[in-house]
Amino acid sequence: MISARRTPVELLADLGAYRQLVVNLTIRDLRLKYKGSALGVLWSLLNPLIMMVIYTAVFSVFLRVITVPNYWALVLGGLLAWVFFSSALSSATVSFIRNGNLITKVAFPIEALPLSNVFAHFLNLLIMLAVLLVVVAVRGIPIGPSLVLLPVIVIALLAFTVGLGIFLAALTVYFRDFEHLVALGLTAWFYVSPVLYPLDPAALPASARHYVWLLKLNPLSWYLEPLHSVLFFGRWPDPTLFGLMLASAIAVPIAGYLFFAWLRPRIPEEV
Amino acid sequence: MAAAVALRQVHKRYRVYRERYRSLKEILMHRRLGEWEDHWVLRGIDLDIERGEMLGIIGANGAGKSTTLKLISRILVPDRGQIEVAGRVSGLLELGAGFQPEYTGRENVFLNASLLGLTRGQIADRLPAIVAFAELEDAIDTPLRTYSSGMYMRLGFSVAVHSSPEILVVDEVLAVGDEAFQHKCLDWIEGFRRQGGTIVLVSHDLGTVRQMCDRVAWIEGGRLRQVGTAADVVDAYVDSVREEESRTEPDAASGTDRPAIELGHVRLLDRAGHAVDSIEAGADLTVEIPYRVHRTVTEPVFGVAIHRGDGLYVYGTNTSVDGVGLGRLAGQGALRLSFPALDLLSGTYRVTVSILGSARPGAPVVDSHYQRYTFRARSAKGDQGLVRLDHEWEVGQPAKERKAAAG
Repeated sequence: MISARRTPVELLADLGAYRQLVVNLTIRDLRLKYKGSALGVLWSLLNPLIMMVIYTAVFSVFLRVITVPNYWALVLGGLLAWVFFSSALSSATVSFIRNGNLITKVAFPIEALPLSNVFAHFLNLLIMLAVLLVVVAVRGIPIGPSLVLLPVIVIALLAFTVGLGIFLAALTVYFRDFEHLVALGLTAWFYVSPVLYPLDPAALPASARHYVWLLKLNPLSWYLEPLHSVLFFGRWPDPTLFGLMLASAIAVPIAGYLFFAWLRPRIPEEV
Repeated sequence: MAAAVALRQVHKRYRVYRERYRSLKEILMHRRLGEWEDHWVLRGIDLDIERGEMLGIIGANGAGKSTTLKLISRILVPDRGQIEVAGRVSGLLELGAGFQPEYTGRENVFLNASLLGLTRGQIADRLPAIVAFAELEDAIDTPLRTYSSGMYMRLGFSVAVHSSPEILVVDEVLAVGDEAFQHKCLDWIEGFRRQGGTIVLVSHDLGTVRQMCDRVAWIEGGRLRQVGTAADVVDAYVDSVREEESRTEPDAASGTDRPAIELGHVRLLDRAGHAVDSIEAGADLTVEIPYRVHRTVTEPVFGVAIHRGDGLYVYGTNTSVDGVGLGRLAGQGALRLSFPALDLLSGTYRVTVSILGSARPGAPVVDSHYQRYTFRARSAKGDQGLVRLDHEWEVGQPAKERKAAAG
């Protein structure tokens, strides 16, 4: 029986039955990404590497505002997470409006589209993190027992991105502007997030220290500070931020999915 | 029989935007998504589709046929009313949905089949059958972009029918590919129905609908106008379309370039000379063709053709093949073509009358009333088909044995 609107639980059950689709779409996204490039995955590593060289040069050689040893490693860790977050979000945002033909012709759990977009970028992130860990170990950067939290942080970031991605995908069906707004928003978000700098007042210039509390309101800080802590400083993350990270990693996907489920019935008509 | 699909007072509304505000600025300014009107495509459809049945849905463009299909296949949800679907629905709305040109045929099977809800194990099990059915054994590992459109369709069709549907929802495409493959498609559909599969077909091809469907639902303006046996509903629909067309047809006599010989209103008459619109099979029918000569035509040829409602060409003849010399016609008059025993069986038939400039092939058409006149034939006896063939029954011994006994 089809009621007028399926409940979020029914939608989720449907998605569960279509696991294979999510897998296949993820593979498709990965293949499209590396289509026809001989270097394949290396290209996606090259991008943050080049950015790392540039940012490291700018901030630790020319501007000399951030004074931490091995600044390059901090930048690389932050960039990997940021590149995952921003590119996954950009592609998830347009995943419904770019697949209108599919959505209007086939009955399937359409949230598989943004989900697979995010998963494809996530696999990328995992590969690059593995490379980074090797580099960090080789260069003797102190990593401690707090590294056990790395999987938790990475999975939390995935959940946060999935929730936000599904939310934006549904919203963009109705507000096409979000395609461009998200791109613009991400540019701004980059600088207010601790990607290129640690959220540690001691490491920041005096003028910036007063604003650290403000930066802590940014949800991405809840993910990036713990990441920097375990990956670069070898210390346990700030418990408050870590707690906020866990809470948001549960709340954001639920809220995003509920929002999507609310808009779901009319998406095939509006897309 | 249990209903495979039951529609109960199903309503569906679309927003028809007069103006769509796409930018955030506009949306904030107007505080709404756009200027729209609610358009009710379906206004209360009640329909039971029985298990094992093939139901056709016909109607004009915009009547709500495709919307009904999308509701049954769960792409859309009704705004009011309910739909109960007992069984797994597979839609042939788009063959090869999500096909990737860079993928090989095999990879596309996996992607497409998972879009239809199959698990990896199921797909792997069915892959040989899918490839064999599509007859793509040699090409399955080459990229899809090298496929012809026929190969593409075959693969899409094959995946769809191997997704073990119980209810198949079809929009126009019942058979794809070349003629041989089309036969295969139709054979598959026959087998599917023998196993109790249900098919819902939307098509503009009234001939196919009439021929293949058990029942037909005629949707008009979002409501069910008629449901019944395929022949009844298709014929009634054809009649209604004819009537509509003849009402809106502009008056041919107006305008300066009148044809050299102009056809008047043709009448179909019974033996007594009364105009009829239906006859009993085997009855007498006369086509009366009034004409008016405006300019002389040396050797005009008058022709009459009969088509069945679904477009099947039944019979055509003209004054030239029948050796009727008309000579020079002048003024006005009427030709009569009589069928002393028109053995057409039940159905709707359309009569075309035309005048050609001469008997030569490619001669110009002087005037023509293409399929403008309609009559229905009924067979009270219950024999079936297109025409009644002369026949005779005899009870006795098989012919061979009698011969053997004689020798």
